[in-house]
Amino acid sequence: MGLRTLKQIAVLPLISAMLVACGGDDDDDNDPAPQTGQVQLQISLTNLTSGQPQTPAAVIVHRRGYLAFNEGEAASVELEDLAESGSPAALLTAAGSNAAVLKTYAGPAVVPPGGNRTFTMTLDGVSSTEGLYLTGLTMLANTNDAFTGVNNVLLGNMAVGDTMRWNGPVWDAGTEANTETAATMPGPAANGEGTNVARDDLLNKVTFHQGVLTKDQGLASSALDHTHRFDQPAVAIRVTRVQ
Amino acid sequence: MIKKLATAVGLIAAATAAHAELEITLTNATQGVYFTPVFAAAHNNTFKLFTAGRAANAETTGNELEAMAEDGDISGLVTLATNASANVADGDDSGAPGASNGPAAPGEIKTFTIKPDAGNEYLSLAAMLLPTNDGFVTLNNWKIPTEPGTYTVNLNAYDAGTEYNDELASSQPNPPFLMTFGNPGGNGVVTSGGTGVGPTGDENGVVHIHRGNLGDLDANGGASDIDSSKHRWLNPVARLKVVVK
Repeated sequence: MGLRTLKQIAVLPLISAMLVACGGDDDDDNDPAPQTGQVQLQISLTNLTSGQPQTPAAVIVHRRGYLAFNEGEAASVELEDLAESGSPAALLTAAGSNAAVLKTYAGPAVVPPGGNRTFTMTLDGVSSTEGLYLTGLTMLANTNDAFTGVNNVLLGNMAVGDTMRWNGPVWDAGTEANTETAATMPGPAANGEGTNVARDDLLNKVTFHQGVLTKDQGLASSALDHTHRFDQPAVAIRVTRVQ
Repeated sequence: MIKKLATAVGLIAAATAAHAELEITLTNATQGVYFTPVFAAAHNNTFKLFTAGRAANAETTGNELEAMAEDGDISGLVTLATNASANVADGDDSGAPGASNGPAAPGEIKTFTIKPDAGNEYLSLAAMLLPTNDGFVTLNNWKIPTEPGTYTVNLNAYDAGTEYNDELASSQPNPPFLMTFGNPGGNGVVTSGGTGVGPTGDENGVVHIHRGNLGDLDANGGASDIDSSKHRWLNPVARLKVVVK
């Protein structure tokens, strides 16, 4: 897989959205006449970090049977791509071919620290959220392979108007060594490469992230400074059933 | 009459029944911190590991929690829990209960089962973190759900508050699996020339959320013997999945 900078991936969500549309799922933001029995969810992700832009999100509503990753197990190449380049496309394409997945959503844009993205997803053919799960992931752009979000959380039976909230931890994909050098991170602090298929992390397993060291904590080769440090949680997720 | 009797029996059974078997999966979700053998027990309200904000020995009879957190020695906790009628996960080795439930390397997944007796409605778990002076991962007094299902909990790292965090190799166990500075095969206590994170003597004496390892990047000196590029974490440090059968 080639090198991909954050600037380049900004156009990818559009492509990804079109791919999803080909699969039969329309962009529902302007749906004028919702069918009866539809479920519509308004989803909001707020970037809680001090200095970590969050890349276009990969958001997936699914049933039991889809799992983006599991702590303690190696990341898929699609998750590696999201965690190293910030592009949600590969993960969403793979999810789209899973029978347990009801709907996917890409992006749309990079969310700066303190920023928010809010969007709606319409689920056709279901009248309740019972048995549905949410997975929503986004990369911390000024890192080697860190990502945050929610993984396989149960929505439960939500009434219209109900809201659920989660705080997302930061995971390390385990797919790239955390060198923090300018050449290896796609975010604006570095403008380096995106995905590199080599797996040279401490562990080839998804774990919770140990945080970045930065040059202010003695890692002279780091392109990061103290403003890029983060703690758990890194994103606030809110889901409201609006229909 | 027979119908009524059956109902009554059913009610009594429901009130006193033990929990069904618990299938427990513990994932060490750190990138570079080991868990020593894991103490895990279903217990009643006569046993408690600790209370955050109180001294480590406030709930136990002696230094059982301290021995777990500083030395990875869970035998005291096992004895204490067993004497309190708890069901301790023994890892199928009653001679050394719990010893086979670990160590868990970074990213490693451990699975064990507990079959709680009636009245043992709480689940607790603890294991030392290495390398640390007195850090441990824990689940403290978790009410076991009565409804069958799968429950997932994130676990945080705590500091026992019993030992100053000087981060020196000589202040902590150096088992063979641990690869810290100066201990490249992990064959004994070898320092990396650290002078100790100091000053000593300001440990606050109560159980609290661990502030994390400071570490350093100097393999032959510096203050700490801990490699900050490997042996750090942000809470949480573990995922615990409990399947109530």
